[in-house]
Amino acid sequence: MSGKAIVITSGKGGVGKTTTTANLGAALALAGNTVVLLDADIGLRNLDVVMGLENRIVYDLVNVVEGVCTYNKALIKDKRIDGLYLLPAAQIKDKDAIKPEQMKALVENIKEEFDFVLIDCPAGIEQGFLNAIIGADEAIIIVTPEVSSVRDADRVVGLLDKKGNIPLENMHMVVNRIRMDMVRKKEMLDVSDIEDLLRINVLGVIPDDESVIVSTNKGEPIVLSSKNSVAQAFHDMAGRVLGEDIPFDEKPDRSFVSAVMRFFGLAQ
Amino acid sequence: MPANSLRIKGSKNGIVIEFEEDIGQAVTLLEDKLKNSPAFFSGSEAIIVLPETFIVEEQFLARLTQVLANSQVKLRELRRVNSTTIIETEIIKTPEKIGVEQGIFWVEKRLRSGDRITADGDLVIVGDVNPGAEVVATGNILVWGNLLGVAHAGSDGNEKSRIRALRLQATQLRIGSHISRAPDDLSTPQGPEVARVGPNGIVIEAWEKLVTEPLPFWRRLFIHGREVKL
Ligand SMILES: Nc1ncnc2c1ncn2[C@@H]1O[C@H](COP(=O)(O)OP(=O)(O)OP(=O)(O)O)[C@@H](O)[C@H]1O
Ligand SMILES: [Mg+2]
Repeated sequence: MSGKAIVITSGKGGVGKTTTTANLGAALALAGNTVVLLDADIGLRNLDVVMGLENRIVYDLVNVVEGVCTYNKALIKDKRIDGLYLLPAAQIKDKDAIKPEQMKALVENIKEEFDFVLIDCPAGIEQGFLNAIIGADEAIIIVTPEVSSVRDADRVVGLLDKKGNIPLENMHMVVNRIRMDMVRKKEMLDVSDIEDLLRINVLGVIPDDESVIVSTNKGEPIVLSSKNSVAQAFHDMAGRVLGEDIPFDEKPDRSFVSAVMRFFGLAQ
Repeated sequence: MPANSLRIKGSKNGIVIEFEEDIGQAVTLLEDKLKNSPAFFSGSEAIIVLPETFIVEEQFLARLTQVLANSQVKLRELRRVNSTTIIETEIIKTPEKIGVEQGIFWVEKRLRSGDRITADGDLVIVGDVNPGAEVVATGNILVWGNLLGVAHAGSDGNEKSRIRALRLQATQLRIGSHISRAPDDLSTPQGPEVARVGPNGIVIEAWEKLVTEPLPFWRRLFIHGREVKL
């Protein structure tokens, strides 16, 4: 068996790579797949924090690459979701501790035993980025509806095409933090505006919602703790990764109904 | 003097191969050298430096790419001895997608932010030039797509050069030493347009003739080497 390695990347930093890695991974595992979340953000690891698994780290990615332990030993099993594992990044080593070939070999190895390897890419386009993309079969590029974010995403698509050996048809974009109220007033770029420029397929559209920050702070993926529109967006995204044909619903997130439901505590 | 027709140097960015006047001989010599030490060259990237006056033709490009590919060497950049870049191949992954015909460089590729293409002569892009991408030519520029980035025609001073695009909405246009930036109101152009230097700087006008021509006409014109007027 050979699974699929998907790198979650972006041009601009802070646009939701780690959030997407955690929640897409959790959603894929909830759908019955075995998933390894690989934190490639060496020196700035935080996937473990978002997953609430920080206190269980014994070995990290650099230990594995240096041969201190096998990757199996470094994997942290998520007790809440069957089939979900985290391979944490090192916090103290510097980014050059790993060579691209080592990373590639590691991802190949993990793919032998798991359905999905989701690689959380560091921000920027330096060595850490190259390490993160080298073993990937597919890429998810996270973009927020801002001109600068789209511009940087465009650059990354170009780089992936040149350096990552990932063909354009295996690149997907996720538009994160969209606010339909602003889009409707034409104060925010629309998904189709972004699509026009990047010309890659859209895998998901995630609303901007405080519940993301709440769940990040609790260390619990939102797909576990909530059934709101953000959680649904991640489930839909997982479905599309699994090849299902799930239509996009452009319905507003902060509708009157959902506001009322939130008020009565029926939704988050 | 075959030994002098070719100079090979190592550099941070790959091997630099400098051709002297007798290009045909130089390519043959290069082929021999590459074959003789495959382990040394295989997997490396080459920057080819050509004499100032040598005219790049498709045939030459095809042979060169072939010779390099046979020894697993990637063509990274083609440039002149005075260091004007002709083609940066990092931008163009597959060599089939670049070509030179009658001194016109054509590139079939969407150029994304950070990409830059420089041509010594006229340059044709089949695809969009996204914001953050840059196309520069000493001659004319034609973009068969959306021109949203920066274009500089007549880069060594030819103010008669023109820039054409199916949708001309560049961040900045330069012709010779004239510069014009995108208007702040960002109106969408109605159809294909052409930019040229008028008495008061760069003017943009409808590219009327082309609107009536079906798309394949253009490609026949370039790719099969008929008389071309940009
Ligand atoms: N859809 C959303 N709605 C609201 N807040 C969000 C959303 N997505 C992400 N955030 C918040 O944005 C911040 C950055 O997110 P995240 O850490 O996932 O980005 P990143 O791309 O991994 O950042 P870095 O480039 O630093 O690694 C976090 O505080 C997160 O909670
Ligand atoms: Mg992150």
